[in-house]
Amino acid sequence: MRPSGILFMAIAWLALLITCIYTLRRSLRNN
Amino acid sequence: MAKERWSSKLGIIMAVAGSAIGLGNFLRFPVQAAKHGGGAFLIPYFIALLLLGIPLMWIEWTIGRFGGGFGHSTSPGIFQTLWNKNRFIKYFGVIGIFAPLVIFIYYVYIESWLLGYSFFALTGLYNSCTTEEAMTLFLRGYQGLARNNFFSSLRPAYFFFLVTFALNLLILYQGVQRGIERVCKYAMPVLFFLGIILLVRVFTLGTPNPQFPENSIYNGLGFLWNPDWSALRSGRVWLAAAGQIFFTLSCGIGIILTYASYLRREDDVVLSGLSAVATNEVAEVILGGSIVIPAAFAFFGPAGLARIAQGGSFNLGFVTMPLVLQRLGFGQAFGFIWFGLLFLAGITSSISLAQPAIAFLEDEFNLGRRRTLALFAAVTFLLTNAVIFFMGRGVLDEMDFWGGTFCLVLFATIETILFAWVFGIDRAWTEMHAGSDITLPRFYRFIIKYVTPAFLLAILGFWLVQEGMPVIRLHGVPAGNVPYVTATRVLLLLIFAGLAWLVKKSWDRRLKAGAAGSPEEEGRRI
Repeated sequence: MRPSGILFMAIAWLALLITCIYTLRRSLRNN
Repeated sequence: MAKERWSSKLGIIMAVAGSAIGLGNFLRFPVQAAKHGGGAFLIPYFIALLLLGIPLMWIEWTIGRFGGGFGHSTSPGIFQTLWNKNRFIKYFGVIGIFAPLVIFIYYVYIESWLLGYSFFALTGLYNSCTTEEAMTLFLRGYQGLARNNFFSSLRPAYFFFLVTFALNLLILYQGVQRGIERVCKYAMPVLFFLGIILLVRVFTLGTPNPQFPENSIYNGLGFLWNPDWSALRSGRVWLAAAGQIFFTLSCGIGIILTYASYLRREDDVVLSGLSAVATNEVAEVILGGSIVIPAAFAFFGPAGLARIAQGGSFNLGFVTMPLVLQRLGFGQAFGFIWFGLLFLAGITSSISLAQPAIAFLEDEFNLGRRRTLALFAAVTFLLTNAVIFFMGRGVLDEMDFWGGTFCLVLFATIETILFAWVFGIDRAWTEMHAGSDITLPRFYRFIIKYVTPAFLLAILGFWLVQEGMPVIRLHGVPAGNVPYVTATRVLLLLIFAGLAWLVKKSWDRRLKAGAAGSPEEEGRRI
């Protein structure tokens, strides 16, 4: 795995995890 | 009849995410990414998500909730409320019942294979298959495409189909809140839990065969994620990325319209829609991208994986993965987890596919749950039998083309234009933000009005030329299958005509009952 691959994977994972947790938490605050 | 409602915001988010998360997340996405530039594929993929997927999700949530306010839960009625001066628009809405119904007909059968394979994994019934050839024979025998040492008849497949079909009906019989919502609220966390178990196991595979040190899980991840920049110059890669976004989100099919129609006007759609998208994307990119391809690479190497991927996504799921998992310690348990995960992804999707047709009969004809389900079960059971017994004749592929591809793109294009141009972007924007937990940046007005429709028209055009026309012209269909494929087309046409006739009947009834269906009535919210 090249460094560019690791970078892509890390950015994608982080972006998705943060978005998912943030939107779900904010949605459920007003559940 | 009292209108059904979701009991909580979490309920509808999980239901929409459950509908979106299907076999495609775990089997189609990794193959598409590996074939179209690896990490570089993620660039057009996320651009399509921002310009096409998320706006479509918001459009469907908004018009679904809007139509639900007028007592309509399916697209014919919802389209009519959006454009109440046009008498014909409701017939375009028929696609929103037809497409999910057609997909349900074959999807429920594929879903039953997953239940069957969960059982085979747990009991070790396919353990004697240690090569790709043997595992392929096992699958073909199970599907009834060949008689061999493993299966001499379709009976096992039919048994698991009956169980799966009954399970779907049982959930649907419980209704939106006690059936769909309750199942999705439990199934989705379990699905994620099983996915994480598999992900951890795959990531700890290391180098399974020390004789081939380059076939490691680390290089397997590289196979999927290392960017090939030259791929971005290919229009095919951009089209594949947009197509993947389209199919993964369950947009353009009428399901989300129906689900959102059970919301109240004061319920948020913007943030909830985004939450459902994000949940689906975590399942697709993180779980889907980390299990099949890296594991298959570690065991079969790049050449073996390329050969397997040529065989299609299904081969990866039903042939490669059982082979990989049975070589691990506790292989039977991991096999069960794999097929159990896919079965959960499947059942939360199939119940959503059934709901528009059920909601249509319940809402427009006041048939009652029991009679509606009896009618739905009778029709779908008969048609799924055609898929089961004529599978080798191209019936399933034909249904997938019309119901699962053509209608999706067409319906999404119609509803987007209807929302942004006919309903009007000003009203659309206000309607979207009613009860919203967040305010969207204003540039999304521009995206929804111009970019998303242009994107969809481009996909529709490219796709019709590249893939649609050869299929419509029966290109590559063996001569022996032509009568079956033609019969399937006639059957689908009859189903569409039947649904259009039912729409006409229901509007006639409303008009007779005095006022319903008229512009005056359509302007009245419940």
